[in-house]
Amino acid sequence: MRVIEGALLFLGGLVFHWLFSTHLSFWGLSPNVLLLVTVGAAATAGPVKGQCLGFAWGLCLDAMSGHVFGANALGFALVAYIVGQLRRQMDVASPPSQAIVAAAFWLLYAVFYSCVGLVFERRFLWPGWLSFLLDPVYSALVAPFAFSAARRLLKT
Amino acid sequence: MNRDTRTANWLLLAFSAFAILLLSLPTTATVAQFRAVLSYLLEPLPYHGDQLTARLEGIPAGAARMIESDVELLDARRALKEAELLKSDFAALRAENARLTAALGLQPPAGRVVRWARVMERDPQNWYRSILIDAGEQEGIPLNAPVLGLHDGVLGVVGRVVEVNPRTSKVLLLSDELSALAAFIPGSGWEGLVQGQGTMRLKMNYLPVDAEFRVGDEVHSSPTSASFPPGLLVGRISKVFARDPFLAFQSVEIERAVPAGKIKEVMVLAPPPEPEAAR
Repeated sequence: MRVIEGALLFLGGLVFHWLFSTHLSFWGLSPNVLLLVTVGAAATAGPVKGQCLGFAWGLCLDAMSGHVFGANALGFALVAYIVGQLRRQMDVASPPSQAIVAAAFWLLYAVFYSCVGLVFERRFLWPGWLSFLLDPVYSALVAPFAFSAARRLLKT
Repeated sequence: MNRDTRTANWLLLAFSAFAILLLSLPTTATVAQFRAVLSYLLEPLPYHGDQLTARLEGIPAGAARMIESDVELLDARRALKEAELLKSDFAALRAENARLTAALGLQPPAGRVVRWARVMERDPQNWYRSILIDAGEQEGIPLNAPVLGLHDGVLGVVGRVVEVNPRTSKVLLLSDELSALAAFIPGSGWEGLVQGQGTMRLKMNYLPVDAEFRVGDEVHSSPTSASFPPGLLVGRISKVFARDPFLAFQSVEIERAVPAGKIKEVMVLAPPPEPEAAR
């Protein structure tokens, strides 16, 4: 991964995450674009690059959120490590499989984030049933585009 | 275990350790403050909003001054109207004060108690007949009590009380057609009967046909009057009527000492209260 392409992916991920969180949010639902791109980056370029990008994006999200600082960074790094380690056993080439992987990791990540809040902030950071049930669907719909962008920029 | 896997493991350990360190430290408040500062510096709305506020700072102040001036102008106009009302009130009170000051120097007729009262109401249909005063039974006003008025520092006959209510009384003016008063002319000593005409002027009848009267002669209440103390000024002769050969007396027209239209306060002469022992 060249530095410029990595920087472009990093900044592009932030911009799209902001775009989906603000202008493309319906009924309070929005896909976690940074999580999707982290999964896509780890599946494409391996756990090392995925963790680096995920950790950086996580820190940015932590800085922008009002909750436990460091939870997103830890969660993204873990997701990137798991996806990077299992990428040989997973099929993330086709859009349906990408959507399924994205939805599954969204759910795992939501549970993990809530548990981190329970440990470090003494409260379960539950996103709500509507978000818990529908956000994975929205993320699954956006996932092919995120995977495609990550593959185009990271594939050497 | 290949090189990438080992790197990934060490990296995960390092990131996890760093993230847990961040989670363990009380960094949330600091990050929130940093984020607020960053938002303020980078977001265009606060910056340009502040610039716009600074640029328009003078306009709201000028508008506020204009509004304050307008409010002060309205207040001043209102105060001016109130001042006009106060001025008229002051003039009325000063005139009343002058009348009452003059009345203070008067000596009421012997054996009578003075009750002052204000004129409350005058019937426009019967302007020369009656007035309503703001004193009644509770103030000790008796029925048929003589009522006097003050004009030019002189007490004159006004009428008598014909109706007494708890707080008000009705005074039948001397100018009413039903009023009559025994009077005499001090210059000649002749006595007659003053009667109301329903106009500004009174008429004095039953004067001797051969007596001589002059315009301007004073007419006073007679000692033979049943209601009025003697010597009270009734008025002055304003006209001597031509002798009527068919009548056995002559008449004169009298201009009242206290014009009915100028009466503001009246003096009611009441009998002195009975001593406690006599009750």
